[in-house]
Amino acid sequence: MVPPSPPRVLLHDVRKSYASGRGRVTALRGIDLVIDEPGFYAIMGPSGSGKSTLLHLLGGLDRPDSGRVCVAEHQLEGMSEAELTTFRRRGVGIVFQQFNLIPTLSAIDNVMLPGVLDGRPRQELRARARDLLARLGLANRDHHRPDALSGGEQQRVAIARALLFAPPVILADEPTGNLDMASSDLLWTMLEQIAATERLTVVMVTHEPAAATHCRRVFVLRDGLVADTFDVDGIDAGELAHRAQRTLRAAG
Amino acid sequence: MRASWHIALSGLSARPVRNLLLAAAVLLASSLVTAVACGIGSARRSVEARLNRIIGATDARILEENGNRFDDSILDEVRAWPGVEAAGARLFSSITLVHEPVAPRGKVPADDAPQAEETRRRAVIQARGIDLDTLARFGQVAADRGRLPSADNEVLVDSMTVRMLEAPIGSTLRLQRFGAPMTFIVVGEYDRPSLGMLQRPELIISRAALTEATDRAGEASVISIILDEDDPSASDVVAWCAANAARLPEGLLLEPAELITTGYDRQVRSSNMGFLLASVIAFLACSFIVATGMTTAVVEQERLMAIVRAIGATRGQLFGAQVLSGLIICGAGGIVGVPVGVALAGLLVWRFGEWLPEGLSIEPLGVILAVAGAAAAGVGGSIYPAWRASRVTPLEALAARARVPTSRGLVICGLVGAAAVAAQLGLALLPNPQQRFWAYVVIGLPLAHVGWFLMAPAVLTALAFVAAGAVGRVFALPRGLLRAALSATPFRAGFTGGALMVGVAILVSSWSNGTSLLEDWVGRIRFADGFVFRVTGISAREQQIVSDLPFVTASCPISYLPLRVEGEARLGVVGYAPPNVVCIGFDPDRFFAMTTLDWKEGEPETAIPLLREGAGVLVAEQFLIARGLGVGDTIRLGNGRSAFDFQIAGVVSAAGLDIATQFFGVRSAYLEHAISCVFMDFATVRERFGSDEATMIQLSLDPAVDDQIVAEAIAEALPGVVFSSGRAIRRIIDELGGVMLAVSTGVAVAALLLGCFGVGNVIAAGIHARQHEFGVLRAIGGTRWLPARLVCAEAVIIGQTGAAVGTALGMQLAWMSVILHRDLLGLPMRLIFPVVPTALGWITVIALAALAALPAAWALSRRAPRELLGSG
Repeated sequence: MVPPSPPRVLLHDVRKSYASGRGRVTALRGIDLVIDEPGFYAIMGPSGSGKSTLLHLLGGLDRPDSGRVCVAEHQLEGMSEAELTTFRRRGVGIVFQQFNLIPTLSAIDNVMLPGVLDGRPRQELRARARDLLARLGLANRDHHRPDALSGGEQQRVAIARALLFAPPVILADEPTGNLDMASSDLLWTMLEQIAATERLTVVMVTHEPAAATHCRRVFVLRDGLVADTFDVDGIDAGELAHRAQRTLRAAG
Repeated sequence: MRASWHIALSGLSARPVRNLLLAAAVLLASSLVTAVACGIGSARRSVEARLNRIIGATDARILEENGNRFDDSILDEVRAWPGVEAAGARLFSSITLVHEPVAPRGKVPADDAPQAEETRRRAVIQARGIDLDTLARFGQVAADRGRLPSADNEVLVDSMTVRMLEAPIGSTLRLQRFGAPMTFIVVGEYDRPSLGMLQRPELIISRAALTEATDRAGEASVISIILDEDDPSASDVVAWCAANAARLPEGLLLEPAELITTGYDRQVRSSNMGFLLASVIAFLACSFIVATGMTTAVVEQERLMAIVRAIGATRGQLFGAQVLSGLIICGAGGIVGVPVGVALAGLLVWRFGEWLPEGLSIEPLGVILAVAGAAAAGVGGSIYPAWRASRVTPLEALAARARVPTSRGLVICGLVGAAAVAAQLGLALLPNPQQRFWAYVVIGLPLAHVGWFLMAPAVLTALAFVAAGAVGRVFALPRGLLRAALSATPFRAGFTGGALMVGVAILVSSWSNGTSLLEDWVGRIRFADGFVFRVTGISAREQQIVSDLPFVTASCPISYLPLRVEGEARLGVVGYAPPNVVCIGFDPDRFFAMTTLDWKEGEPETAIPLLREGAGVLVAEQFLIARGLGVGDTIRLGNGRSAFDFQIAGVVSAAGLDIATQFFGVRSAYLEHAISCVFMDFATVRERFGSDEATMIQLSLDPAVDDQIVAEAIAEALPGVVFSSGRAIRRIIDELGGVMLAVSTGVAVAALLLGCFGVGNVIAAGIHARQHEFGVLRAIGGTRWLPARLVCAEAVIIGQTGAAVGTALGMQLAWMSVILHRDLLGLPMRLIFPVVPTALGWITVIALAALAALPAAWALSRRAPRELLGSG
């Protein structure tokens, strides 16, 4: 009998709060979330529901106050600073809302940067970066700097950077927040395809119901907890939005 | 390491102009250090050459107590004494030389040849035999025409010898003696001040040749000693002489030379000390500018650094990248700065060639300090920004909230700064002067600078509270805007002001110390405007003639009378004692009006009445050392016919008189056989020893009358009497002092300019970081000049901060300098607050800061609101 493969993403009873002024704000109140299989997943919820905090914990950008955080077999809560840094470099790929490319580096240099930080041979990195950019439709733009690229192109460069070490998990924090609808749609489709063809787990935080329709499953957060989880199988954006709002109203 | 290089180069290429500004600041600092090193080295070489001519480079000398020759076998022993850098023997003797101006080619005519008699010139010459390999080292010998002798058969003759023997350069002189013939070639000629009828012709010859010529093998008249200035045991020449005198056989004396008694050696060492301190300060200034500039860059790039951290850069890689950036910026600036500095120094030497006749001296120490200092500034100035960069957390990449600085941080920074300043003050309590100096250079100086630098943000906050209202009104800013803007970035603005403080500090401290030095030390070297001298004496009637001259405002006759100390034994026989002291007779009231005496022991209030009564004498320090006497003891002085008891009322030195007698060659003419002096009332000399003739008259002259006119009038009034100008020497000393102050001021101004590179850079960076804020100001109705005026007003407050902190630091440095001069050089100085230079420094630094902000402010005014808003 083949033992079941470990979950791609696991959060168990995770709590996180922040100091704010004279008090504390609780972002996550003992959240539980499991993703077993590769695919494209969305996390939705109103402002202050803990979406971004959740993503930060999954990306090793922050530590939980308590609970377990496991990403692709990496137990993050007990990792040292150096181990988390290595995890962010090789174990996960992060795509930010504001692209966060280095403005003085070309597209290909931006993609190579995690490999340079890891001390890999430049020739090997360059070949890999070129390949990734070509697959994302930027074969002729690899020597352009970010200020010469459109928003959509910059975000594709950011995706290529996230894919450099072929991590099992990609995290995207509102990746289309600064893009127009056409570019956004193109990007969601791209992420969906990457998740399918590379058998990756892509977790995206989004406000857009249209984005969630590209996903396999949606997790709806409210007040630091998962209020609802449902599969997006054949649901359109409008219905998806209604479902999410019903969930939030029911949660009070 | 490769990753750090990658991040560093990426960061440097992102802000090329501002990084060039930082590199320019380093270039200026390293060129400054190099130029100052070469400039001071060149000035020192010229001053030493001039002092060599006037006073000589000798620190101490060994003489026979009666002025006789002695066995020179002790020379090798002396060279091996601790602290001795060089020792050379001289032999003085008279020789008869003959010159035939016109002689058959290749043939030396016999003495009895008739034609030869008509053209032959013969003279008895005072020969000074010097070891040729020590000729240049010991100074006081220079050829005004031709060159110095380099072989045993070559001589350097004085003008009197040339006249008497009709022997210009190239002539052959023959030694007249029994024995094998010796001939000498005249290779050079030198001038000496004319001392009248009894002055004898003189020449310089190798000691070996003079030994052979006079059959005085194994003899010397004096051994001159130069001490190693780097040897701690030889730093105090007087103490060294006292410690080593016991090594000499009986009959030989060891005494400090005029170089020491006049304090010139301490002035030279003072300039060395000054250069070392100036270099440390220059690179500290550089470090502050680099630190402020790079910290601003780190703050500006915090988001980018957070991104790099988010995708997996380690803290060490970011730290390394900042340090590498600092090294690249400063390394480039330092290396390019060295040739620029040498060129600057060369320009100075060319421009002031008259004062720097020895030309440009490239100091290896200066070059090494410039490059090493630049590298140290790069590393030191990047440590804090590197640490800050490494502390960046990945979450900051995603944070959109502005962070308001807390007052807690300001207080902590200020307290740490105050502690550093207090620690430097505490180092002044170290018991050992040498330890105090090195602790100051290595620890204290950096501590003082870092301490005041850290206090700058607190000072800026205080100034913003006090002055922002007034400055805001001057720049027509909305009320409260300037204070709010400064409060939002107290560290960036405060540290920028701190980077400006060094120039003001140098200005304040150099003028404080320089003013005190000129007033306290140079004022001490006070001597008469002029001297009239005749070896055979100036009678009372002739003294009156001089005194009645219209341009003479005061006169003081001085007699030089050889006496002997009665009761001393020589060769085992009491009473057999040739004259061994010179009694200098003077009228105390008239003398003290023109000349300053240094009182080593005794008080003028009790000593001068004893002088007037004829009961007391003042003595020179060597007198006491040689005889083991003290103030209050009695000595018996006599001239062979009568003797009298005198109480030693005080121990003095007359630095000005020492310079004058040495400069005019009086010492060599009169004091060869005497090794120490006593000072007595002129009337007592007349009454007790029957001498009312003056050898020298000190004159105070009408400042409107030229020295040339004075010399002519005196020569006409009293033929045979020689006049020499004391004002000329005084001018040299004042020039030196003035030059040093001018150099210090130049260094201060350069340091201010250096600071302005930093200010310009940081203001540009600050504008870049606040673009969005300025865009909002424009968007809600602010005019295009409002942000520019705000930036300039901030620069004015920053300039005030730099001036305030710099003034405080400058006075602290001046105070420490007073202590070091007192401890290490024996030069008493006062702590003076230089009001005018400080005020000028304030005005300059504030104006320069505002000017430095103008280009960035102008560029800001030309940007559209949409462009500014879009960059947030």
